[in-house]
Amino acid sequence: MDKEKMAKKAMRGDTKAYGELIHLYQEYLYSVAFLHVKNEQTALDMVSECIIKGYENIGRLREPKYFRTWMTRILLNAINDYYRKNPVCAVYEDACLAITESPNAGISPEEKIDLYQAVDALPPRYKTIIILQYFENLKISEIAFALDIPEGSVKAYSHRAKEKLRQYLKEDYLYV
Amino acid sequence: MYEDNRIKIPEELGQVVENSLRKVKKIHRRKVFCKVCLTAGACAAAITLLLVWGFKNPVMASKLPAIGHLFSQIEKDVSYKGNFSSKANILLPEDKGSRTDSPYIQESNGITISVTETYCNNLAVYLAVEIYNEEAFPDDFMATKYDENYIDGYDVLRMDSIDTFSFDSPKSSYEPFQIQGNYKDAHTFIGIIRAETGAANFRLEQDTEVPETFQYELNISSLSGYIYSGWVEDTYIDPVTGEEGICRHLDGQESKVYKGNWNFKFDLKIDPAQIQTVTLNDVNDKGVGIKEVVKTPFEITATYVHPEGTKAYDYALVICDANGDFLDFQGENTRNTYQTYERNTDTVSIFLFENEQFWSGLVQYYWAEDYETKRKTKTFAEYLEEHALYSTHVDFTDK
Repeated sequence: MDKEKMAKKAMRGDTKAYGELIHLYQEYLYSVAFLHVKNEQTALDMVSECIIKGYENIGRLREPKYFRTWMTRILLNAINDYYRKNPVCAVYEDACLAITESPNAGISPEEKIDLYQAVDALPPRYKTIIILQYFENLKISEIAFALDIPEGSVKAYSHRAKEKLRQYLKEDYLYV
Repeated sequence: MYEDNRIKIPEELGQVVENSLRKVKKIHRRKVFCKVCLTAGACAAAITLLLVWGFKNPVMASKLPAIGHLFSQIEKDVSYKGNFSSKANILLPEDKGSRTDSPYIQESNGITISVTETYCNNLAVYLAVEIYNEEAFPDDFMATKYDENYIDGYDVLRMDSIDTFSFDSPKSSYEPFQIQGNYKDAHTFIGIIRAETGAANFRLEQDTEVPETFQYELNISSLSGYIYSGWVEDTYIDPVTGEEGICRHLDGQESKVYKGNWNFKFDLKIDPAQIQTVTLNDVNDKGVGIKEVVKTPFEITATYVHPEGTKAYDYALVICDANGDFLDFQGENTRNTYQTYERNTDTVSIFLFENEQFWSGLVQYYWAEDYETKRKTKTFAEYLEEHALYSTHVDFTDK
């Protein structure tokens, strides 16, 4: 599939092309949503809202090659709205279930849970950057586009976020 | 770094995505409905009656009195309307029996595409096409007949294509991707392809001169449409009223694709006498303004200037007719070219806005259900005058 060509068609209102791109990125969108909200149903709701808002605002997408990161921005906006309405920290049960059922890459479930808790304890902007950069493998330029901030800011946030993660995990911060 | 920390993907994700994409299709139809006038619905009803009568009887349909060339049969139903038949260049005779071998008739894998007429100006090329399929097209393709939720006045055959203009222009990134038209019978689709020259492509940062004569090549590699598994009932939330309702809709959408190789090359000629160009070269203290306004028999557009460091697509070009009403776009694949069909464009009002300011806010004044009442006090053009970054009025009557 030529994704850029599909994105150009989607930008012109072609719902079929839009749908094919969504199918391509649906697991990615769900992963980003789940890593933020830690609840399966909420993450599904976020994805649904993102798909609909993405099409409603497709006219604002300027470069077809940025379709995925642009959808990421739509999704993050939906997540931020969710945070504003639900300031209580996310529940970890679903996260633990998701982690323990995933393929074991040599990291114990307990260590994974520590990592997720540490990420979740980060300030929102740091957390988003860590998720996009290390869990979803977005490039710095893509993250900058998704968050609409300069690349230098992304690098600075990423550095500070990793410092904080090291601090949390080294000092058993979460067990205090 | 954390590649192996995969999140478990729930089985429901697929269904959630499908439900969301169904809502997306409803939004698409609502957007189109807001732009298409009710006359399109009346034309669709008339054509539907004709097709239902002749549909299962293609022999009878072919014996109908000739009602003109293809342009005249569908030019008022498609989203890019115009009396193209009045200015068309005829490539093939109306009577199929008298058509001999022609480069404008291409057959591939049982499908014959015939381009019967062309029309062009410096903004776009229009091709009247007849597509004959040896195997009958699926009933599902004919949305105007079988989809009770379908609101467009025309059917669509999607296509993959690449097109090229012979004049020195940046490669068009808007290859035509669909043919709009109607099914004459189960084997025959007639429609119009619209291809922008690129001069009207708002992404171009530089002016593109379209010569009086040029060649246009169109290579089509597939035609496709949708087929469905059947009808289902669903509850839904109306995106406008927020009310819950039950809707019956087609489900299990899949593409049916006909691959082939249909290659056309056209020698086209523009009639400069049919094109009106008004040069303004006007820029205001905000750094925005209009360079020139171009009006053809069927479209109107303008090239505009914007402040250094900004992009053309950061701005919305808005044109209203002589009555102060918003013009429709000339089709779904353009954002700066407006349709003049059955509208009084002897004089027009032209505005420039920041893109988001217009499309996320100001346009709602025109799309509101009570616009017909509001316009008695203040037309859309008068409303926009109060908010525009730039505005001007052009009178074509003396030009």
